[in-house]
Amino acid sequence: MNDWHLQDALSLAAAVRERAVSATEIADAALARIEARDPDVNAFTEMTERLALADAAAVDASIARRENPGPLAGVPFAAKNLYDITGAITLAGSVIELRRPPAAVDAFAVARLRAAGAVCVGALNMDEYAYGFTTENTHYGSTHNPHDPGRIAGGSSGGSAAAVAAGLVPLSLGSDTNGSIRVPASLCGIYGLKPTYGRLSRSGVVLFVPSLDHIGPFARSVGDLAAVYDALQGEDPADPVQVHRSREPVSAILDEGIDGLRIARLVGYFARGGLDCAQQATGAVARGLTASAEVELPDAAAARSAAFLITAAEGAQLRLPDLQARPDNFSPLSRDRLLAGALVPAQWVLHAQRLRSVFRARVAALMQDWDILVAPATPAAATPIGQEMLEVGGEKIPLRPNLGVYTQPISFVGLPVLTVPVQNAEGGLPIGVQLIAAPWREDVLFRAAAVLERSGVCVAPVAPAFATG
Amino acid sequence: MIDREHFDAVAYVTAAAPLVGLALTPERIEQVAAAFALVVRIGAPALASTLPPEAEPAPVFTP
Repeated sequence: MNDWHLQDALSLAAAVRERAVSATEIADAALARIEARDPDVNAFTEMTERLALADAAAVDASIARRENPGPLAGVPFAAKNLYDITGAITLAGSVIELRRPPAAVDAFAVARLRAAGAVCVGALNMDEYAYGFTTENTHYGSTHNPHDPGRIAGGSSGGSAAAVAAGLVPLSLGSDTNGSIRVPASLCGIYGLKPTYGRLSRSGVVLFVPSLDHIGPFARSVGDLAAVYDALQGEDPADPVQVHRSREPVSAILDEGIDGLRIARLVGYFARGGLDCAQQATGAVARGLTASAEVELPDAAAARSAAFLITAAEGAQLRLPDLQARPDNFSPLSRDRLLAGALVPAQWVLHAQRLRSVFRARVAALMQDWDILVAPATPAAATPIGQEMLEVGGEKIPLRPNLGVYTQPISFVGLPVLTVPVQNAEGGLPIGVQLIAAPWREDVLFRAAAVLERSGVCVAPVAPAFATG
Repeated sequence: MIDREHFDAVAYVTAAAPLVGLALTPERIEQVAAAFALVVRIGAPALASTLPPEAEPAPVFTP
């Protein structure tokens, strides 16, 4: 099948259902392409050939029996390596987890996609224990940005974003605590969804900061993102923070447009601390959505600060036995931060959690007036691998913690965010823009993203170096 | 909340590490103190905020 990697997931699924191509042919082609091109990006830490070919054969058999093979029939996907995938060791970007046995069952999200007919082809690189925004992994190597291999893919779900941007898979799964879906989506120039906190089950996923952890998908089209989001929705008693709500699918509403939606651009905190390209892209998206005002999110700086404290403490608490027993097995990029997090006073954490309640109320008040807020996703486009500082307005700031400066205040209170890509924002590099809604209003985000895609303001083609061959 | 004038990151890390079972070498204490200083710097805006007494911590345990 020629150029399958340029097609979106829904086109592939349609071709499989119509028997224009078999799921096995697509799986074979996907595995061969990953083998050939992944060395250029280092997105995959494991290929799950046996599982993929078995899944594909099951889809083909289902079609032969004239059964419904599912909305994602034969579509290859891969998951950040903190998701359990049957038969694979769940690494969470670490070498410590190599002691674990292979997963006996899939994470809930992986199982949902496989049940929808999708074919799992592997596991993807990430920052160790998801504590980072760059996917410069000491143990498994850096993931390279498909738009420029000398630059970071973003993180912590860097492998997930790079695999989609390089056309290795049309869909992938990541996780987002402080920006780990939105940052790599921005730097790799694709769509990424961080749903409302508690919307999607996280069971079978290695947690980083339980009170802030979300899961979500990446894709190169809004339709694909909607399809995978719809497939992921479902009640799972195994996740104690999942909120019991009916499924609210979005695939059928993508053509509804944005008439009547109240849309504003976030300024103040969100207009400071970034490079011009971030603001210009945000402006282009705001104009594309005819945003009618500029508004400020009160106390965003304090919110980001509180998210940082909770992350430090909770992240360290989950890893404390290994920090005590084998600190040298952690990456130098995360070890000292985790050790420091283990020493954060309880008073600070409780203060931060109380601030979270106050900030939630302020955000809720703002969202009474607006359906969608538009803000940059990252302060810069992809930076060179190994770069430690970012110069903003003549001031040098540490790059790695500040890549999440615009995403952290939003996930702190669990709002749904759809990151949309603006190509060629800085030279040939893309950058993302956050579309933010009130809790449980993913629907308006998809409507707006579809408008931006139709108008051409936002597109997410396979990165040029990976479009041919 | 932070009394920066009297806060000594190295002394704090040295004293607090045994409370959570961490045995740190002198070299590592220096590195962790530097990381803790970053926590202090980035966490400062949150800790400087005044909260009303009725503000409860966000996570709610559901029995």
